[in-house]
Amino acid sequence: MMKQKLEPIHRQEPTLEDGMLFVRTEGILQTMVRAPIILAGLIIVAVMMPLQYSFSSTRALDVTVYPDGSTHVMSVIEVDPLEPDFTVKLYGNTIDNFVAQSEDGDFLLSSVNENTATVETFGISTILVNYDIHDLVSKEGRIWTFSIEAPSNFGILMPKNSVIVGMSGIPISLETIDEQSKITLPSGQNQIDYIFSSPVTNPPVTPPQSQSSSFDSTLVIIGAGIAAAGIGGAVAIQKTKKRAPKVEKTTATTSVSDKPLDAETIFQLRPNLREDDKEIVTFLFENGGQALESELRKKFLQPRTTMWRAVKRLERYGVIDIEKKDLQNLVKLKSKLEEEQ
Amino acid sequence: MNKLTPYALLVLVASITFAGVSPNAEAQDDPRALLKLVIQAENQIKRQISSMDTVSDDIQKLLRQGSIEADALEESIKKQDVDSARKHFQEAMRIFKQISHMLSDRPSVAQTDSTVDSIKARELKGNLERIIQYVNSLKNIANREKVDINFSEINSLIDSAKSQIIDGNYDQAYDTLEKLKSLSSDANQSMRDYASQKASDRARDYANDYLEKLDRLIEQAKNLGQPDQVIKELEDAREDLSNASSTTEIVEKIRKIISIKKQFELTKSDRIESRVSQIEKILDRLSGIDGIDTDSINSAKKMVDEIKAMLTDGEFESAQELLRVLTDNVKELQKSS
Repeated sequence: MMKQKLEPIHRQEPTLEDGMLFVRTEGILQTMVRAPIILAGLIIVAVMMPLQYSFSSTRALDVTVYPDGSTHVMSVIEVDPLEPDFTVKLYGNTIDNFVAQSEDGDFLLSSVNENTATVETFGISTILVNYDIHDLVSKEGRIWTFSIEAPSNFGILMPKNSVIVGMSGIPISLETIDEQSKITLPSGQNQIDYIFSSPVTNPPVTPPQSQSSSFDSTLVIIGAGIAAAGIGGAVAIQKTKKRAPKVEKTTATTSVSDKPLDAETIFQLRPNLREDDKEIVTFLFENGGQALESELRKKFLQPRTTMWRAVKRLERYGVIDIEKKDLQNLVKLKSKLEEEQ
Repeated sequence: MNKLTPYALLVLVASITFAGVSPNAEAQDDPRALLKLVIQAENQIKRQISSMDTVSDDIQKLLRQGSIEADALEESIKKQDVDSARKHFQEAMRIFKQISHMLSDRPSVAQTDSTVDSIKARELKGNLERIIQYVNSLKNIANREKVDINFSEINSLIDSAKSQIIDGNYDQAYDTLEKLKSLSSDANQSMRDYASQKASDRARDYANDYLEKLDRLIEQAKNLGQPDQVIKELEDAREDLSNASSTTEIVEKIRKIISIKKQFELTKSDRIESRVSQIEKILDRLSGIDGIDTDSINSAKKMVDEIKAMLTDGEFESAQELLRVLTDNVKELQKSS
C-alpha cells in the first residue's frame, strides 16, 4: 500500500497559477500602494508627532489621599492658546472645591459638568487645576484601594499611618514626608492597596538620599545604612534578615542597655496588644521613647478619658512607665520587659 | 531603494512608537523603594498575624511565599538585576495583597467604642484637611488678586473644628464642618464675581491677539490664491470679532472663525501658531529668571519672529523646521534655568 504523506492544510502551498479566483499577494506593496508613498506618509507622521504631543498634555500631576478616602488632585496642563476655553477631563464625577488658575496664579472662571470642567483660558497656554474627588478610592473590609489611569508620571502622598499592601505598578521613587509616604509612579493604570495601622519601623535600608543616585551605588548605601544602624537597630535588622516565615511568640526577658525597646520587639513580647495601643507604642518609639499624655491625645485625636485608659492599659502590660512632669503625665517606654505571666 | 525601504519603514515605525513612550523612558526606577515597600507590607502583615489567636495554614503558606519573594527581591537588588527585582516586587505585593484580603475577610471582632471613635475622627480629620487646603488656596488667590474677602469667621471655625475633633465632640465637629463648607463656597462665589469682571478684560486682550493672527491668516489666504469668497468670509468674521463687546460674544465669534478655517482647510498653520504662542509665554517667564542666558533668550525670540513671518508667507514646512530647532533650544534653556 502506498504511504500517503500527511500535511497540515495550512502548510499546503497554494498553486498560484490555479485559476482566476486566486489573487497574487506577493509584491502588493510595490504594485498597488508604492512603498515611497508609505515612506513619505510615515515621515510626515514622524515629523508631526512631537508637535502633536505638545498640546493639551499634563505637565505635572500630584495626588494627595486623605484619611477618609477622599483625594485631592493637582494638575498642571498645557493647553492650546488659540482656543478660548479648555475642557479638562476629570478623574471622576464626584468633584468638590474645583479651582482653576493660570500659570501666573490668576483665578479662572470654570464650570464643572459631571467628569469634565470647562475653563475659560483666553489665550493662556498653561493652567493649574485643583480639586477634591471621591471616586478614586474604594474600601473593602479593612483594605482601601486607590486606582487611577494617569496620563503622565505622577506623585501620590499617602495618608499618615497607612501601609501599602498591594501595588500594580512599579514605583519610580519613594520618600517620606512628615510620616507620610510620597511615591512617584509611572503613567498608565495604577492601583495601590493600603490599610491603616501603626507605621512600620525603618527597614534595614537607608532611605534614598538622592533621586538621581544610580543603581550601582545602592549596595554602598545599603551597607552604610546597616553599619550606621547601631546596636538598637541591629536587633530589628537581624529579625528582618532572617525573615522567619512563622512569627514566633517570644516571652523571654529582653534587655538592651537604657535605650527604650524598639516597637517590633515590644510587639513580639506582648503579642496581645491592641492595634490602637500598638500605634501609641510606635509613636513613642519614634518620638525618642517618651511623650506627654497630652501630646498623645493630639496625635491620635483621642478624647482625654480614652487616651488615659490606653495609657493605663500599656502600664498594666508593663510596656510603659508614667512619670509626673510639670503636673502632666510623661509616658515613657520601658527599656526592658519582664516575662509575661 | 527596494532593499532599503523595509529597513527605513522599520526604523520609522519604531521611532513613531517610541516617540509616544519617551516620557516614561526617562523615569529611573529606584530599586530601594521596591524593597522598602515590600518590607513595610511584610512587617505589617506579620504584626497583624501575631495579634491573632489562630492563623490558617493557607495564610502561613502564603506568608512564607511572600517572604521568599522578598528575599529574592533583595538578592536581585544586590545583583543589580532590575528586571528580576521588578518581577519579585510585583509577585511579593500580589501575595501580600492576597493575604490582606484573607485577613480582612475574617469575621471581625465587634467594634469597640474606641474603634468607632477612631473611624469618626479619621473621617472628620480628612474633611477638615480638605477644607483647610481649599480655604488656603482661596486665601492665596484672594491675596494675590487683592480681592477683599473676610476669612476671619472661616479661620475661627477651623480652630473650633480642630478642638472639637480632639475633644471627641464629633457631632459638633460635623456641624462646624457643614458651616465651613457653606462659608468657603461663599468665598468661592466672591472670587468668581471678581474673576467675571477680569475675564472680560482678558477676553478683550485675547480677541486683539486673535485679530493679529487673523490678519496673518488672511494674508496667507491671499498669497495662496484662495478664492475671493473665502477671503471675504474671513474679513467679515474679522470685522465681527473686532466689534464684539461681551465675553460671550467674543467666544462666539472666535468659534465661528475656527469653523470657517476648518471649512476651508486653513488650519494648517494653527498648530504651529499655537506652539509658537506657548513658546512665547515660556520665553517671557524665563526672561524674568536671574542668571538666565539673555543672548539665548533674544536669539529664541528672533526665531519666533522668523517663524511668524514664514507663516504669513505660507512657508509652512520651513516654519515647522525652524519651530523644531526653537523647541529644542527652549528645552535647553529650561533645563539650565
